[in-house]
Amino acid sequence: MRASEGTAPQRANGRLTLALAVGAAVALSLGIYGNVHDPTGRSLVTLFFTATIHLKVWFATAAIGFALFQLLTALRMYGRLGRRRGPKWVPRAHRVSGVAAFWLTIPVAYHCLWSLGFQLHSGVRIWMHGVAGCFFFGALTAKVLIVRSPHVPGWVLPIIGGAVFSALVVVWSTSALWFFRTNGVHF
Amino acid sequence: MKTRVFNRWVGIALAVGAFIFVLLLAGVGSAALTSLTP
Repeated sequence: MRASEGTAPQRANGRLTLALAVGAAVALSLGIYGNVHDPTGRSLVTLFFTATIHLKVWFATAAIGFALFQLLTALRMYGRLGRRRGPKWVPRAHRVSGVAAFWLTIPVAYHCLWSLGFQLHSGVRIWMHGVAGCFFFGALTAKVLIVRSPHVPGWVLPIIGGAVFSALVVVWSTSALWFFRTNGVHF
Repeated sequence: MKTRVFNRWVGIALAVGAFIFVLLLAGVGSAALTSLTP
């Protein structure tokens, strides 16, 4: 048996473990920050919206739109949608839409953590929103860390990508969708 | 080559976003953001 045999899978497993550990640390850090930090209850920048909450729900909705686009382009890249792996622009569009979704979630998550905090005893919806929000950023971190990593088993990326997408769907459903249903559509 | 440059920019964009997020959570720039609220 050669000394190099088994090195690549071991390295891949190490990289995967490290990525998951960093992701878990990010999720935990956000949860702890939201729990320990005293909520300010203040508003942030509104841009062209009438209130920060409207900015948040629309930014979150745009993010879920990009996430849906990510899901479709990922299916296309994996040959599950249409024939073969699709044209060359698909992987690029997938990555650009991912960055866009991430940037859109930054002000939303920041306002949630800084102004509202992690609320454990304010109802199931808010608890789920907080947990899924922290999980989303942890899973996203893990995905970004392993997405360019060679030798990682092929099933890893779809699983983590699916987890990121599912978490964002829960986050959006328990916030923006709830807001639209209870308060109507406003800008 | 083009793909490499593109991937680098994607990485930079993600890193900058994460950095800004952490800075905001650390309290840097919060005053500037709140002062923009009408």
